[in-house]
Amino acid sequence: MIKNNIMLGEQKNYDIITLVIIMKKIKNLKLISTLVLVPAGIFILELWVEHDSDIFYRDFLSWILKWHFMHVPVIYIIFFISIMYLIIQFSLAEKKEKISQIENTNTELLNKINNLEEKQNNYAKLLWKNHKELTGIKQDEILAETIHKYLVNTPKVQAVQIYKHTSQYFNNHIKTKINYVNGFADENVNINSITQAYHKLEVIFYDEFKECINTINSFGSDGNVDLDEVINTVSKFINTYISKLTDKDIDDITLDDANTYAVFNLTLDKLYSTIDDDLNLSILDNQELQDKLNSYKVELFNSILLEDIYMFSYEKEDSSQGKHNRLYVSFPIEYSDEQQRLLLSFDSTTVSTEEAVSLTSSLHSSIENSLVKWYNVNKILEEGA
Amino acid sequence: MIANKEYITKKLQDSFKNNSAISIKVKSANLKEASNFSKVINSNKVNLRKLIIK
Repeated sequence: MIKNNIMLGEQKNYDIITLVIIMKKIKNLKLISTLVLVPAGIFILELWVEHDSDIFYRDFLSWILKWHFMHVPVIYIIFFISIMYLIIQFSLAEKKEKISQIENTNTELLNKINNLEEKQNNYAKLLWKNHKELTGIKQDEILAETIHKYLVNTPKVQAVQIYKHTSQYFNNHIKTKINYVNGFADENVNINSITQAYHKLEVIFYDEFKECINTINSFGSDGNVDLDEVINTVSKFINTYISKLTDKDIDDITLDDANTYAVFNLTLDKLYSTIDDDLNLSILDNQELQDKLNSYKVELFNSILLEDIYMFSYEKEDSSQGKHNRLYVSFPIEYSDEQQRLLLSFDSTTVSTEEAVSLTSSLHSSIENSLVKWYNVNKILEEGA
Repeated sequence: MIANKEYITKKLQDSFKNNSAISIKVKSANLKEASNFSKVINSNKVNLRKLIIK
């Protein structure tokens, strides 16, 4: 509708331009006529005033009247043309006024159309924004409901926590920020969460680690890569960077060193995972240094680095509740354009590692099914609307 | 070639023999009994891929 109006407006503009050109031509003609007719009129008036009326009629007017064009005196023709010219001028003035009015109306209408289009765009943007927000809220609700329901029906799972993470490059480092998003716990379970944590690694080190993981993955997926080649890549990587830790005094060890050490462990874990064997490795000869590096909590960061399913455990003494033997499984989830991780907690005295993986897989399927169901219902509703 | 933990461990130990700071040792084969451990799960084998929700 608006498009048709615009097309009509364009047609009107075209007509107006044509009329303006005609008007300009007439204006030029008018100027020429004025330049010729006015001096001629003044000249005739001068003759009349300077001479007697009889002489004027006899000598001059009769002289003028004797000029004929197709048997009609030229003066009559000039007189007739002048009258016609006046009539045309009056009618054109009227037309001009109407054209000016149409031009004004047209401009007003175009302005109104532009304003309406702008409003329509703003409404559409607002509507889309609200739709996205509502969709996000609904997704959050479904995710929370699914996890809660799963937790109630699966007593072997003690808690499920959601973390989001973002990474940023700065000063040759990659910095990862981890934030707690939401969590659900079973009755009578004490569970801690990491509200916010930062971990950083040197970019060159991180890139080489990623290369190692890709080489291991290639070996695991198609078998075209030779195992010796994979082991060489891993050992070369560790040999190159291990001095960063071993050359340091134990008292100078920081979280950054624990992150570096975690990467070595992760690389070796990943290598052994290709043969799917349960292992608990130690890398360093210096047990004290190893204990110090293990004292930092970097497991969640490990799972983020790995971008895959990851399992870890803690044995912790609690003054009020005794010993906690906790087993954790974490898996990645890309949710609402954010990178997130679900972290499941189990009691390692009652749940085996295999069972923990199986229970995690079950939650994975429940979330997927709930959201797929919701998407389908939403799609049907959208198509019906 | 049969890929097993002994083979991988042996190869790694050989490659680190010139670096006295590194000592690859398998502490425990049973993770459940280990006090603190971490383990990469082979996601291809447990069919647990990254969940993408958009």
